[in-house]
Amino acid sequence: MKTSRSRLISWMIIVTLMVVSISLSVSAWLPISRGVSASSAGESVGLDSRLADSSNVVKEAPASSGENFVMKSSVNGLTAEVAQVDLNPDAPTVSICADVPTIADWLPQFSATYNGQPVGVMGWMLLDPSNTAYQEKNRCYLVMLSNEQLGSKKISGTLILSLDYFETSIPERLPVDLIAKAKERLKDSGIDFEVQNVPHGQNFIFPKKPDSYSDEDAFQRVTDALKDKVYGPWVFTIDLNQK
Amino acid sequence: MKTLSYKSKTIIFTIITSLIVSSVMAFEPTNVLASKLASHTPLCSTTSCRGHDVYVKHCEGSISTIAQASSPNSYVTTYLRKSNTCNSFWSRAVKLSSYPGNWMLSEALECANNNCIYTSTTPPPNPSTYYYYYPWSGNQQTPAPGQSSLWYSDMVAGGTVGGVARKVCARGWVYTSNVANYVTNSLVYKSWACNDPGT
Repeated sequence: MKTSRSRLISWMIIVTLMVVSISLSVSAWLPISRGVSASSAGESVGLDSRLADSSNVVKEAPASSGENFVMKSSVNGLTAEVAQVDLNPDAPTVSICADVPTIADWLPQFSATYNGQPVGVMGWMLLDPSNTAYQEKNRCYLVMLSNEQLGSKKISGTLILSLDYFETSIPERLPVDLIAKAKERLKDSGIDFEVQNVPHGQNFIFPKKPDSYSDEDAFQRVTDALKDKVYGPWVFTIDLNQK
Repeated sequence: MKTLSYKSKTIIFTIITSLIVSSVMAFEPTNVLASKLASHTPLCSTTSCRGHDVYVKHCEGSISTIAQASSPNSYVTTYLRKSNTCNSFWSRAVKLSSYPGNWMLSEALECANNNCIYTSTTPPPNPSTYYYYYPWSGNQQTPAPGQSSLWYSDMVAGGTVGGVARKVCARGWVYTSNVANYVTNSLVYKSWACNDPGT
């Protein structure tokens, strides 16, 4: 009788520990999903000294451009804000500060139109005078636009700039766990890939892919599978008419 | 109360120990564990990183993308990458596989006297002849890059020069060369990504 009671107590302890262990495991393993809801992203951070620090390099907008251009946009708890517009005919730029989904290497992806016509986004640059942006949840970017459409000194109308989404960067050498994650995401696509290490780079090989897929198609699918993405868009309508 | 047998005690001890260990590991996802295991002490910093591979010098522990730029048609997208542990930069280029050219170049450049001056549009070879950048480290070039290649350069120095942040640029090229050391097709595309907006 006593032996049965001891066994019962032992099993109760073991079961309790297992339940606790499984609960902890599940909570700790919940990943950031693709297209993640950003509700846990925290509060928006307003403009700070980063732009003030960089004012020596970000020129003032010319008289012909609008000045009431500071706007905010919030999607899923992430806020982005247009901080400055510089319509220098040689190098038009827009400065944006935005919450990023997590403390990681997120890359913003932008698009733009000027009076309804597409404007090339040449690239962006992190505004980070204190070299601490990689540890912060709110980061500022200088977005560089093509001067083909905005290169005139007589700018008027509307510039629509969109921060379409964030994506994580891909490491120079793909770690095993990231490769496995991408393969899992691609398991129903008919694509399999291998990574070939070469000095200072990696090439992708596709031992299996649908017949209708070119290597380019397959590569795009693989690179998408290697990234986490958080979609907006955060859209800003900038009035360029002279006040 | 009857004392448990030695065998029972052993089994219970093993199970409890396993559960405790698994609980602790649950707080440390495998990618974090893997990165901890794989990470090493950085073997260079700022200027001593010049000309070295980021992975050889164990600078891959904390990487940030500082800038991104694309060429027309997005044939080549260039990223300026930074190691926060080594305080160094390098270039990473991604060639769109639809570009027909057979060469690709990924370069990281420090601006001479911290003054980034673009002096010529003359394409490779020997671009260092035409650009006022110093030192010329981090030049990685590959012939016949595979479809959808990713390519990165060696490092250049981060840090400061005379109290001012060192200005650096990443540059990616794609071009065609059917004769050694000559560009044989006018379809040369490049993109620049720098840490200085005035560049």
